[in-house]
Amino acid sequence: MTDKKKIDFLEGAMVKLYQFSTFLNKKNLEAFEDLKIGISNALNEEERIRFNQIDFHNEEVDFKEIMDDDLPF
Amino acid sequence: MGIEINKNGFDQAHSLLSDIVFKLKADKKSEADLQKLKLLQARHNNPDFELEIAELICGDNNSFPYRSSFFLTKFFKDLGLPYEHDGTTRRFWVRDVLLMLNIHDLSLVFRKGLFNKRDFRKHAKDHQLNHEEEYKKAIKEFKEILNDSLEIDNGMDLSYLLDLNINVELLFDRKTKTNDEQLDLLINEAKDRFFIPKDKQIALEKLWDAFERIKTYFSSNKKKSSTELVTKASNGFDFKLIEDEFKLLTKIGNEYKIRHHETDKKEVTKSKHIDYLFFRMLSLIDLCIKSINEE
Repeated sequence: MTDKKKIDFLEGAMVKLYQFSTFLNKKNLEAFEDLKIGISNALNEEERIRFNQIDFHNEEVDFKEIMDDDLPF
Repeated sequence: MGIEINKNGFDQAHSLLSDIVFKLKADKKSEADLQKLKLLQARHNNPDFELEIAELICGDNNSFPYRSSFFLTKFFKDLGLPYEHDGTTRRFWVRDVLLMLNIHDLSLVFRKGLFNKRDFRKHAKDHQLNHEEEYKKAIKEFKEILNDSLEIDNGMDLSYLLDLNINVELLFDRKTKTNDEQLDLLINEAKDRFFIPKDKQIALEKLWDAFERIKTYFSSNKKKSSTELVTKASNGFDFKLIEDEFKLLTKIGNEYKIRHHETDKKEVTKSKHIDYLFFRMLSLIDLCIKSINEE
């Protein structure tokens, strides 16, 4: 990838990341993971290590699904 | 189960990508851009860069003023950066904030925050220390982190570990053993250093030193000894071809910054050319040693 293409790609990726940061959900999670892979592939080794260390989301615990037996009290 | 968005993670990613775009667009003739590129290189080389800087900001060492939760928030607010300490472990919180800053804001943190003289004066006064000495000590510590980060090398060349290169098979797999211990040391050191990326140039220089040494293998009269060596190396082949190779590689060693470092010598800057010269010379030395050992 040339520098020009990498710049264009990363600038586009930043816009998409911003959009995901406001409405990431289970339905678009796959599209988000594809974006992450695309970004990761465009980076060099050190940049990729940094990018892959970032936590973008956690699983939100639904307390209704937790059985009483699972609770420690 | 739903998804909980980690806003800080998205901010970190945005900073990382905008830093990479900056790196590609930066004006290499601008001093300000060059300073930021150097900082960026240190940042990207060292995975713990932000944590090490966070410890300086927190003052979790002897050289920088200690900052409590209130003063950490103030530190960033005074720089126009709206982060408020949330009560978590100070150095990890600062690390996470630094990860969210792009290289322009990080540079601001260094220039106007970390080395703010007022903070140092207060710190020195509170602890009855010499303000100037404390300031110098802090600069030294910061420079050490930067230099250590820049010196982290690119790791080992896998072709060496995996023996994937035919040249490795042919030329690297055996240790050199002749009657000249100094010659063996030079060649073996050149081979060892060649696979450490930052030592390639030194490896090339060592190999050229070995070439000059092997020319006197049979006597201190270099011309007489090297003619004998060329005769042995070309036995059953082509004297002129080997002699020409000796002359050409000697000329390269004299004209490029390999054996001599005067300003008029040309530099070999690209890794691919260093590789080419290294293997060309190593092949010739290998031929000479085989020919010597056949005796």
